[in-house]
Amino acid sequence: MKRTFLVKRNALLSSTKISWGFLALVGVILLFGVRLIAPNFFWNTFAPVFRTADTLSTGSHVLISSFSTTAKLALQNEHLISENTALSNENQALIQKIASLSELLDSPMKESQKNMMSGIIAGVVSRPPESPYDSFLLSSGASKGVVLGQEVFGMGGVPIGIISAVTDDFSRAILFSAPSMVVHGWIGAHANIPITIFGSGGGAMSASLSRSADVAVGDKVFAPGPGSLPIGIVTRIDSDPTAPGVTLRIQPALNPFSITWVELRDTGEIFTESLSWTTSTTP
Amino acid sequence: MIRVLLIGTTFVSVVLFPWPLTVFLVFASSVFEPLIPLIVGIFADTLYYAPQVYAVPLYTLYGMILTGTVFFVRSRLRASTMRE
Repeated sequence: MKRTFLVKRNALLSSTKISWGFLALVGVILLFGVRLIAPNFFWNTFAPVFRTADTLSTGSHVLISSFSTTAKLALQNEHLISENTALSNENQALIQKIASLSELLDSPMKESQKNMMSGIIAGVVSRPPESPYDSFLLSSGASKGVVLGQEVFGMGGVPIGIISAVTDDFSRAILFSAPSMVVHGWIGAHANIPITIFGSGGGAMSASLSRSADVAVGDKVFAPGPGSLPIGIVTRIDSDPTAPGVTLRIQPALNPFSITWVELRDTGEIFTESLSWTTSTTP
Repeated sequence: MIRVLLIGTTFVSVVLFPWPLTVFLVFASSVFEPLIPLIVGIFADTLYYAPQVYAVPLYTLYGMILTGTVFFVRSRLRASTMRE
């Protein structure tokens, strides 16, 4: 009698051939290994890909908009709104700066304070689309003077995050909206109510505050920089009748996912002391 | 040909397109190759993972869960005892 043997088959490997999916998996793991072992080489290789993707994305946006006048007007409107927000934030920042400088008038400016005013301009190489990782890969690294802990500013001098990893040519910035970030800032018309701001991911932030505090939708939220600088606006106040406090939902002053360049500045110990975030040796 | 095009677009979409489209493409590609969610997850984490934000690479984790689910569904769908 002829006996039939059952061939034991593996989903990944078989005696006849290796699944191409398995090979792709090994390839991707190797790529991840390259990023961990030689991050600078990895980012130098992938930076042109990200730049091409960015150009294509902008080009397609413009192409789609050119099909109708309404879309063009919407784009122009969007641009004007962001410009207006930036100017408004810059104005707020200048008001705060005047107040801080007035206090310093009697004391001469130290060399370290002068250095705080000048920054390093860096292009945003990659930004994840709204995702759990609110981070930027920036085109400036240790070779241009970027160091861990520098504060990251967007258009209009709005603080948006902190440098968390640096390689020779690139650096990574973690945004205030990243889930691990905790910033001690202020809220109110005169930035006089201290609050703790928590990153919620996807560009959003939140804070808890006593119910008795006089806070309304539209109030500006400030973070430490040189003085106190506006980082967002209260868009919603969640109130639970059984809880003693309220939760503020904060929208960032700048849309972090449309920023193309940033400025990096060393804002000193006051800023780093106001932050609480995890550190890692992995760039 | 469609299979290669779909899987290729899935990888490109990690860099180029918004994440909901990538998720859709990953679901579609996993019909052809169950390991695709895991591979795309690791690829996305290679590009975007920031250990300062999360201790665990989330995209890889999601990919692992989806790949496990796809393998499970495929094993259930293989109702016949006859093998090639």
